[in-house]
Amino acid sequence: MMDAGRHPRIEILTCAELVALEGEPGAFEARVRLRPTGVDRERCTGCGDCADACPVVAPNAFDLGLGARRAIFRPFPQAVPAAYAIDPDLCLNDGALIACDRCRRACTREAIDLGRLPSERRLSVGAVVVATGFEEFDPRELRAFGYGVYPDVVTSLELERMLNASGPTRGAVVRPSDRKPPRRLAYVQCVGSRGEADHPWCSRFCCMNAAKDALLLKQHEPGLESVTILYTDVRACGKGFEEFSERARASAWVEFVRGRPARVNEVPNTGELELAVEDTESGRPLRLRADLVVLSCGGVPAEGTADLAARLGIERNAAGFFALAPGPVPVASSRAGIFVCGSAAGPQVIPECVAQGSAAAVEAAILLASLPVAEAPCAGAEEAPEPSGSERPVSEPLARDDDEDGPAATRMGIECAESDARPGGDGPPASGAGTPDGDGRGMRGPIYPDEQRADEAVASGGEPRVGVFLCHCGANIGGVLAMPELLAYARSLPGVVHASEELFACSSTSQTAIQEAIARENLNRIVVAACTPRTHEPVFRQNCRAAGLNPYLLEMVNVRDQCSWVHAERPVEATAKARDLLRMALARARRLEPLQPTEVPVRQSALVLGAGLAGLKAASDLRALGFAVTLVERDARGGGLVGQLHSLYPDGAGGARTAGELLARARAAGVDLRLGSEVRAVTGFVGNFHVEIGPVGAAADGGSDDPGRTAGAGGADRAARAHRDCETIETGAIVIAIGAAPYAPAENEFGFGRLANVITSFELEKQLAASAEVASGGAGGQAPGARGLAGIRSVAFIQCVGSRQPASARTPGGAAGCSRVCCPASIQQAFELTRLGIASVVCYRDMRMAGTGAEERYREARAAGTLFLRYAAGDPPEILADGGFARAVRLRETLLQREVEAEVDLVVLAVGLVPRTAEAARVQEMLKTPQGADGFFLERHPELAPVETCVDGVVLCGTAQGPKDARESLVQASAAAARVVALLGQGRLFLEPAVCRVDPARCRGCGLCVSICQFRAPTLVSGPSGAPVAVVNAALCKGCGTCAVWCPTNAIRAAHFTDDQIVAMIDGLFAPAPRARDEALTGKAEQR
Amino acid sequence: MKKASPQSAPPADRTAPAGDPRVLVFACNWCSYAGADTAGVSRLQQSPHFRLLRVMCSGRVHPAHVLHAFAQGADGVMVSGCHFGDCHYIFGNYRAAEQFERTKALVDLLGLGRGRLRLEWISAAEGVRFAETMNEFVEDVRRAGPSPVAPEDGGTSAGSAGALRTSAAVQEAALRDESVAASTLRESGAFACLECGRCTAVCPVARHQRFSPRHLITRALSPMGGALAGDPALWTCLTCYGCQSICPVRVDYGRFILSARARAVAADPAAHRVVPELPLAGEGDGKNGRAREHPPLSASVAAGPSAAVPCSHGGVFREISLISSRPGLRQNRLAWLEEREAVEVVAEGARAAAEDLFFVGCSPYFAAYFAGETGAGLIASLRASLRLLARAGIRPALLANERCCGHHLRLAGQTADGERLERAVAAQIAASGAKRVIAYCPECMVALREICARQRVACTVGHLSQVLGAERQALIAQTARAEAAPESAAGAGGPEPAAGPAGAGRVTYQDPCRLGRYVGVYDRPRQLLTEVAEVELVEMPRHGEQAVCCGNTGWLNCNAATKRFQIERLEEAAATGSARLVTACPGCFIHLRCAQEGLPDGPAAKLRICDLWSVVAERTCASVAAVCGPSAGGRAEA
Repeated sequence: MMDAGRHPRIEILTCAELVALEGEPGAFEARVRLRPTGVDRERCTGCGDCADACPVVAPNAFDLGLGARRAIFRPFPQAVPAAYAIDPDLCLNDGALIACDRCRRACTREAIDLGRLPSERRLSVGAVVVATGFEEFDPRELRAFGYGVYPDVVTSLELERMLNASGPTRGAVVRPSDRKPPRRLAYVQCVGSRGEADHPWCSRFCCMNAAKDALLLKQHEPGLESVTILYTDVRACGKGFEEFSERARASAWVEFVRGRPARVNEVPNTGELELAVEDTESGRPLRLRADLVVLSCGGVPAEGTADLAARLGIERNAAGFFALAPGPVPVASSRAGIFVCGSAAGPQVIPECVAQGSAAAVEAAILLASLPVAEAPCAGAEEAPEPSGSERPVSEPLARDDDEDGPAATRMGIECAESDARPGGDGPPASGAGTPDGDGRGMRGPIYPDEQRADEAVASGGEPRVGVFLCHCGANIGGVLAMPELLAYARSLPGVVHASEELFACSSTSQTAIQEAIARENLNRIVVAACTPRTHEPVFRQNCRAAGLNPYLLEMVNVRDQCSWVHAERPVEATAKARDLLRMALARARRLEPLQPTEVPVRQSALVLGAGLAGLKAASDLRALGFAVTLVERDARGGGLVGQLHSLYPDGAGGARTAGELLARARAAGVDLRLGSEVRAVTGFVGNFHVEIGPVGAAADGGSDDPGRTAGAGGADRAARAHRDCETIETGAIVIAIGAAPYAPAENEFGFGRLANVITSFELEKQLAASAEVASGGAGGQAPGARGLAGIRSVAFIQCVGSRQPASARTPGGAAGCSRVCCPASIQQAFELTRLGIASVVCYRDMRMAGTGAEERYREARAAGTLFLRYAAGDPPEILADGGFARAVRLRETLLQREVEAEVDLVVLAVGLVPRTAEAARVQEMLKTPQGADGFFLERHPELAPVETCVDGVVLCGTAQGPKDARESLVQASAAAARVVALLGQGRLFLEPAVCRVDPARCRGCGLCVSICQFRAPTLVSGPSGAPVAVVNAALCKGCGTCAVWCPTNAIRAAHFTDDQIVAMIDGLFAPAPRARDEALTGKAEQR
Repeated sequence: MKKASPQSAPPADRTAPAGDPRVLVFACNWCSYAGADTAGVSRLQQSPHFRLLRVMCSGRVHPAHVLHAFAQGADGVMVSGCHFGDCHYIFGNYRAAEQFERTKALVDLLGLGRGRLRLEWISAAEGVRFAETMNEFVEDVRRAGPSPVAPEDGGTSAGSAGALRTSAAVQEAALRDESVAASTLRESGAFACLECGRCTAVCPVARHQRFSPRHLITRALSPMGGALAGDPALWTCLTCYGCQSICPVRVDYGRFILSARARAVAADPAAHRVVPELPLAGEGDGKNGRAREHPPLSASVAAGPSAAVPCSHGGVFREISLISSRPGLRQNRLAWLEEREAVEVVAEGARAAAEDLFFVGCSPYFAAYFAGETGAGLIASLRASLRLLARAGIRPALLANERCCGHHLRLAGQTADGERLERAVAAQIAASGAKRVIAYCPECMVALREICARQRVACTVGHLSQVLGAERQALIAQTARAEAAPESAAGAGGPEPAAGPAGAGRVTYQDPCRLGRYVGVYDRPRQLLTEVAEVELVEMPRHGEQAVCCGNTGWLNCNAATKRFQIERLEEAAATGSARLVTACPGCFIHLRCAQEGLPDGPAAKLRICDLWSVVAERTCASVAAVCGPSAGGRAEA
């Protein structure tokens, strides 16, 4: 949110509401009504004096009433803009009648203006993106759960606020009735979902949220004895979700019970609650005691959705969310030019929301680019203006700003695979506590505004003139540390020519004050003692830049997270520690050097690897935005896995047809399509890759992991052309879309390979296609397998083949995770079979029908007569054979609690999607993009950067990243295109200057740096005398500085973290003289 | 409402502030520092006695950084990064773990104990784990007590004062202090310089780098020469004494350099740390390469683009020397000792029965740091020396807590620390009552000579080759006996395979500067080779007084230029047709081996670099057991 707020081309209108939208795609006119907040946001510094003065106390809506706020308030701590606002319903000022005016008098900045009236603005926009989110279901209407009756029944969002460190209880989980920590906690799933309150849909995020909370709760309240999760199906479908949920299940204090409680009652005189529930796996009715009951409330359409839909002229789906149109634009609404993303179209998980946001931006950009008006479409593409329809601030539903809110997982409870307590080794990199751009060198590299001024204030060698700014952070720091003492101490340190205190150093007032001090005192080093550089370094760096000072001359001291917050009970020691940290920072600051980013051009073209659904979509999108695109596909056909499918979930669109259409679109758009080709080698770096492309099979060993995909091509012919046809192209970015492969069942797994009528779901798909051809009277006679379905009356599906395997029972190539697509695919196939008059039996573990309309589809399938049999994880179905043929499926039905047997003519193994190991290894070798423990490519951050890799300029989409369905693949492809556009659209790139550099005079050419660097940044070249010498490619270097440690001669210098700076900090910490000085200051000199 | 989580609350019984441990934690930006933030936002109350130092990656932490913290007064140090598989830089934490092995080995040798040093992986989400780990570590460190090697005054002259002084003050002091040049000239006799340039003509550095010894003295002599203190050339000299030997007026160039360095560091304690490297001489103009106009002092202090720490390996050995000067030091440095019967181990402050003191030097530390083949070679060499002494009938005393001779500190101009160390070493030697110090390393030998002279310790100092050379008749006799005893041919101790019959392995000999030109010992080592080891010795064209330095001393000058003449030297050695290049200095042994790494296949790459002791010992005594008789059969308990 801070990013968007800072973006020069994004204007955020809060308290704004769309009144009407008229016109055509590309030329809409939006009328927006603006409600006054009563506070001038330019003047407000967010100091909070007004709130202190306000006499009104009301429940805090953001804390869901768990905390209190005043009539003048800030919606939540990191709201953008940071200004306070007046709640007109609570404010005592009523025009001229009653004049309370306390806030106005308290405000020293004269920011409060009570007299403003609502206004209206007309905006000319080309496209509209609807991202109004969802609301939590209000469980009051389900009286049986006792919400609103018993104080100790809370919703999951209320619990979330309690878990939040900056929430009403500061991270403590308490029973609202007596404020005591709970010992036994029960989670009720599917509250307001899957049938409850007549909501048929599955809200998707609640299962994972409960699993995450179950783990997190124990961290917050170690006294917690148990968390019981009452569920119907555990829908952990998403990358890494299954593994996470299994981890929760394996925790000693977490118990999953399959059953939905009928009622929550209070146990008299105990303060406990009792839940009546059947453990459906044992058939026993239970009376569970809990002292806190959490209702996992589902998502419902945001208030005003119907209204907004009417004003926008777009349709809603059966559930009341905005409807998505079918087709290749996965975020299209029913009206051209209007796009829907996030949970406004149905409850979603965060990675999907983020990807959809990018996808919507790309679709809007494509629309704008297609207009005759010659307006640069690319620059703003990534962050298209975001109109707000509902009454709430636009960004609230998806609030994912990160400051003191800590790990995103503790907030908003949408999903959780992110920053959880991840065990070592098996997860994606946990950049964790949310870095909007504390990183600053992601896909984008550091983006420097055009008007960046050359910093001359500190020419090299300039005597350090350090300015120290101590932030009170309201009472967060100032309430604990002895600030006057620290200020005096700062002034006593060498090189310090200015020191001042700031109430909120990050406020615009303080930022201005810092700029003024820089100019007035001619400061050339800045030390800010405030919070963590991981979130606020960008803010202060930008401020330095604005003051004409090189941003690398800033040093931050984290006296909040490391002193006041964690030593709140020991203020003397906390202050002593702050002094030490300040001294260390000073020592480093004095040795900081101005660094200048190098500018490199960015090639205006992209390379896409893989012509499956995702690759084709990404390529088409990029082409539509005017970039040259080369699409390389090993297969001679293209279309990927989807191209081999008969019909796609959920709407039965033909897989081959969809793929064919996309292929045709890509061709028509002018994508340089290279079927039957492969990438041989990649060199270069972000914006400037050199890629060698040649025909498949021409390379010495063109081994493919999927023999089916290379077969049929004219091998000999191609080999002959091999060397001739190899060519090198230059490209700015690379999209990995190599897809996934179907799991190949092990020999005799469920009789596969041994029994003739045990096939995989992909084989069934072929037979369905053949049957369809027969039915349509086409050339079906010779279609292979057409006979296969003839004479078949019943089919058994075995779910989770090759998926969700515990480590103890893993088959070769099998996965620990859920493959996401098999449940919907089996149901889709069951429908197709029903159409052919064939009965289906689905043997499942959990029916994972998550996502818009999925649960409804599941219901339909049941209504259509498909039989669902549930088996337990460790007790898979048994295939009963009769002379080489499967005759029946026998399993222990966990819900019937008995063994059942179903006679079938065909057994279909619903196989999961697994990584294309060999191909992925090849790509990883060439691009150095890491794979996760599951073998899929690793995204840079599961939530904040779901399609970026840790290699700059290389993005990722489709099933190469993890199993997903066709729509999700399309969304990700557009999101990947968005990231590429954001990169290429800049035209040039500023390379991070805090990288390593080799002093050629010291380098002995030993090559150790070359051998240890994972990013291939250092290389050995021939020096002037012919001896080898290392050079570091600044574009590839990530600045970790590891090579500097390994260099035996200290020839490598890690800029911004030099040995000199590190040693100076150590010296600074242990320096004797300042200690003596600070003892003198605090009158403790005798103590030693 | 501040939340105090019971499991992470610091213990209630606190000692006085003075007794609180001082703990430094290196935390990587992406995981551990973020984990601290997570602990922060969760308000997890923690012990207030640790301080975080943020680095981008745990792989950025050099063993020298950790030792520096200990040298500066840390009671405990932790390195913390991402879990394996979570590294933002993919494998940076694996590298950190590898470096940490080195750190641990060095910290063990220094006798600091494991409780003070830790490696932890903490993720961004593990706020609770962060708090618990810190509390636990602070308590571990508290239990371990105050660091025995913390500086008494809370810091040393090396860094802390430097952190306080502004570079302007330094520059001013350096410029004002005219005596920098004057007294240096007096001490070294440089005022007699004829400015003839013979020194530059023979200087091995000047052949490859834009450096001129003569120019440096000329600048010192001239009032317009500018401050020497900030001149990179001052730090470029190897003090190999090559110039000394041909100087017509016998200017003591080594003294000139050491004195000037000491004064430069006195003016700015950081001077030795950040000095730009001199540019390489272009091809063909090496001999007349001149020092370029030096950049102004402030530029070098503020670290211009080409600035680098001139001390190789991050200055780790200098940190060890520094720590070695602390009174509380109780090292654990004799683990390599195989058979304690062969020597007398003398506890700190105790008097030795033996009259000879064997001064081991830094080799155990080098061996721990370099590990691998070089490390094994160094340890084997030490063991071989003791076997040879035993063969010669000498059972020397070894100091259990032998302190560094201070060579590295003196070369780096750190005289304040060097002097403290000097007094401590002198006291140690005096306390042992030794009449003769037998130095294993030529650098120790020169340093100890000066120390004993200055501190008036009544003993002689000699190099092992001098002592053994004098006793070589005894060794020859033993050799004859060893040849008769078949079991001794097993060659159990040495890293080098047995040389075979006399004359089969032709060797050449590298004179260590401090053994040759410094004290004039040229023949003794050669006699040991030819008479005792009975190998064929072929001299390189430049040998004896003209021998070329191995390229590094005090870990100061390791760069592209020294590599060039090291390779020249190796080629010169290979050209003699020798299979082995033998040296009597662990420095030469390490540096020449290093230069060999990565050399293209050829005679210079094939050359085996050996130490004198192993070569001689493999001829005379296969193992200490063979030397020490029946009592040595069972291993002595440490």
